[in-house]
Amino acid sequence: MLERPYTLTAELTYRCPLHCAYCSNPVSYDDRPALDTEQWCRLFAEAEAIGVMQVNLTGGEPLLRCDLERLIGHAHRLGLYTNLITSGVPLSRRRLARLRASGLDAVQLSLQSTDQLLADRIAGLVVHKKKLAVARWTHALGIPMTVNIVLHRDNIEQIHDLIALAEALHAERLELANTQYLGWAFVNRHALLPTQEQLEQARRTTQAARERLRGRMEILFVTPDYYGGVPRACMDGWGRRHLVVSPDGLVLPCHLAHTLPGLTFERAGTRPLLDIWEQSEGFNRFRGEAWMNDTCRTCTHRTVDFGGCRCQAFHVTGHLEAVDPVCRWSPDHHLIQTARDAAEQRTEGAPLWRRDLQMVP
Amino acid sequence: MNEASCPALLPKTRLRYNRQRDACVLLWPERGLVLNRSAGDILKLCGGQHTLSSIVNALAAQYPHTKRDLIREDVHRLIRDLHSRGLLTLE
Repeated sequence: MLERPYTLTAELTYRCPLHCAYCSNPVSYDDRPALDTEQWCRLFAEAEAIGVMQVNLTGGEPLLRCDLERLIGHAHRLGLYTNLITSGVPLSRRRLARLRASGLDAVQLSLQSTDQLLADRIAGLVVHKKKLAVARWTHALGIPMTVNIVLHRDNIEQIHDLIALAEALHAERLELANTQYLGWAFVNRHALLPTQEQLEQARRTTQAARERLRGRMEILFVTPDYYGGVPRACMDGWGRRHLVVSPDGLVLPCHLAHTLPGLTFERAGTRPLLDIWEQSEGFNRFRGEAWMNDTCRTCTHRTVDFGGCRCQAFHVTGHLEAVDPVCRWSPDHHLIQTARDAAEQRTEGAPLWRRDLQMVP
Repeated sequence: MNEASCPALLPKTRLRYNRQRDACVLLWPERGLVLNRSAGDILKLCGGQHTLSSIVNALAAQYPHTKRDLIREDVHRLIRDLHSRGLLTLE
């Protein structure tokens, strides 16, 4: 039987003052009007009514929404656990206190590096010092904090110092999330993918720190799919647990599902959310095993990875139903191997594509 | 951890009843657990005011048809598990 969703990821806007080369926003999208306050509030109520327990407020940069206090307050009154996933920019201590008073349960703050110059270069904006201040305010206000650091070739060798920084900032949780090569990260893959040796070194350092910090700071280390050998259970499986809603209200199984051609997704508010979850063509497209190619359908790992990442399969191979190419059994696995070989060549100074500026008007 | 320890869920956690699943759920940043009935009943007492032995007593009164040793084992296992996940303290 189809389970009810647990989590709603509300992408409140695609706008962001930062310009990270691994940005998880789609590379292109229709710039339709974003949902307004009332529409988000109705969606939160509907999501809660069908079983959602956590709401991740993200973007883009959710702080750019001046109605964030109201949205958090509404979600909080519904009994949802509210997570703010943010770069910390733009934010003042007063506003953070106001968000907390509105019912904000937890903050996930991104950092780019331990080194200010490198951090600002990665973010494409002078933000590092400000982020450290936000981390200190978060701790001072007693808000549980996760520090999230996206790892790639330029910062992965700082892993020891990154962990020490998160510890000094009193993070309860540290996510060392290697870039997954989708969206902008796929465009910039040549400049971001670490080498195997870099990855192994980072993994060893993390493991040692995890032992040392047990009970004080939880450390997650996310391996890049490209070095996994088997696919990841992307989103815990397509349409199994998570709802993602794009800024303009598309209800999606993952934040890039609408970049896949030929799939139909529906807009929040056009019909009941439960109907969209249970019946929409897009959600049902990759549920279960009927859609699977022969390699996946006869593989014992299919109940673990649910067929891996559909966006990765399509954007690397051009085929929607292809085996996720990161899988060693994929006939297209050489495409991943080629990217890894290129990372070993370490072409220094490779140019990064940056997003066009999308500042708030 | 001993009989006099007082387990207390950390401030980042929220213990709630979820009507769609007819179950208590324990939520914390970006994670959660759907609890079975007895686990929910145990965690309702984990606010730092009750010792482990008084939690076992309360559960034994609530579940009169279950052996006390079994209840004790269950309570200790759950508390130990959540403690190791960094979700509660033992005062």
